[in-house]
Order: sequence, then C-alpha cells, then structure tokens
Amino acid sequence: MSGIVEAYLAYSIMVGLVVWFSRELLGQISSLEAELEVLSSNDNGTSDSAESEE
Amino acid sequence: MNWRNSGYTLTYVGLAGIVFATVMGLEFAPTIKACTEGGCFGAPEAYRILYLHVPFAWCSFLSFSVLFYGSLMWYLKRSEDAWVYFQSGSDLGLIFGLGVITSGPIWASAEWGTPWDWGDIRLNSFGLLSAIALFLVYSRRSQPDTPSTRDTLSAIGLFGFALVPITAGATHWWNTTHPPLLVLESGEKVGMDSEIRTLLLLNFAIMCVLFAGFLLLSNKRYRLAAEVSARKAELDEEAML
Repeated sequence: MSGIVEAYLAYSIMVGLVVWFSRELLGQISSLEAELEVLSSNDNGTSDSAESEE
Repeated sequence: MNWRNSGYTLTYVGLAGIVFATVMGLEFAPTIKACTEGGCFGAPEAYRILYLHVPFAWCSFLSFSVLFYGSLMWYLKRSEDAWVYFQSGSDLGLIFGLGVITSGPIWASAEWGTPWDWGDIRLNSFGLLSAIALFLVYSRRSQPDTPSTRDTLSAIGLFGFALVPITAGATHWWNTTHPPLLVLESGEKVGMDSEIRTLLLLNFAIMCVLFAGFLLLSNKRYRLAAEVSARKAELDEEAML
C-alpha cells in the first residue's frame, strides 16, 4: 500500500473544510448586510412617518 | 480601499493558493524512498499529507493566539471588539484543528496501522486543544450571550492557549511517536530535504494569506451581527415608546 489514496482523502477533507468555511462566511456576511439594509430602511420609514405626523 | 474589506481579496487569493498547494503536494512534490537506512515507510506516498497538515497545524496555533488576544482583551477592556476576536479565534481554531485531527489519523492509519496513539503527548494535547475550540463554539451558540458567559468562555480560551507551547514543544521535550523529522530520498539521511522544506514553507505562506482573509471576514461577520442586534434592540425600544 503506497498511501496515495489516503493522501487524496486527507486533502479532500482539508480543502473541503476551508471551502465550506469560506462559503459560510461569505453567505452569512451577505445575509447580514441585507438584514441591516432592511432594518435601516424600516428605521428610515419610521422616522419619515414620524416627521410627517409632526 | 478599507483594509477590512481586503478580507475578500485575501480569501480568494488564499483559496486559489490552496488549489495550487493541493496539486503541488499530490502530483509534483518529490517522492520519498520506501526504505532507507533509518527503516521502511509503511505507506511512503501518504507523507504528501504533511504539505497541508503542517500548515493547518501552524494556522491553528495562530488561531489560538487570536483567541488568547480576544480573551485577554475581553478581561481587560470588556469591549465588543475583543469579543469579536474571541469568536473569530475560536471558529478558526476549530476549522484548522479539525483539518489537523482528521488528516493526522488518516496518515497514521496508513503509516502506523493505527489512527491514534493515546500515549503521545503531541497528539493528545492537540486533540484537547481542538476539543476546547469545539466546546467554545458550541457554548457560544447555545448559551445566552451575557457578560458572565463571556467571562467563563474567555477563561477557557486563556487556558486553551496554555496548551499551544506544550503541543508545539512536545516532540522536543518528550519522546513521542509523532514524527519530528523525515527520512528522505534525496540525501538518504535524517532531516528535511530543501525541496520539501521550500514547498512546505510556500504552503504555510499560502495558508497565512487564507488565515488573514478568514480572520478579516470573520471579524466583519461578527461586527455586522452585533450591529444587526443593536439595530433590532433600538427598533424594539422605539416600538415600545
């Protein structure tokens, strides 16, 4: 047994881990940015309506 | 360009570098002799695992240094930014630690015929280090985010960092089965061939770029999450008035 199969298996796991983590990070950042934008626009809407009531 | 946004560039460059390191490690790294004066390898090709396994291990130590910084700063300043570093350090410690404790036993199974040596200090202290990272990540997610929870987890983070020098120096201070050096074809002597050392250091440089990218992006994620929570709390307060 040369161990090349084990080498490929180990590389798959390590590369898979960093790729998965990158996807998680980028996905969460974009969803948090979208959520923050929605919250900001809600906040602006609330302020605008408060101003028009005044 | 804001340096915090360079996390994207560093991550993409690091990921491309990992692909390069994989191709180099699996296909172009030098082959070692199955048998030398020092003995015979059980599975000589499995040694290629070290080209990513070792940089992963070094990056996990960097991650635990970030965790240590976050834990210490939390105690000293109690700032949100310190907690951001704590969270990033524990996440990165877990990712790189998982890479090490899965690839290591795969190599050991091929070479030693057994995945783990329970008497080896290097293996067991690193296993404990990764277990601490796992505990911190799951505790953070399952416990309410209060100052007392942060105090407790930071204390564990500080303790975890104490294991880093023990793990790093274990092969020098104690007799361990974990290999400190390799027997190589080129010189037929105990030591590290310059070609292998160059590739290993190049891979470490690539992993450092990826690590820096991950750290910047992870910090950005936790800062955004804190901002979202703060905005929600503000909106709740406004709605209550």
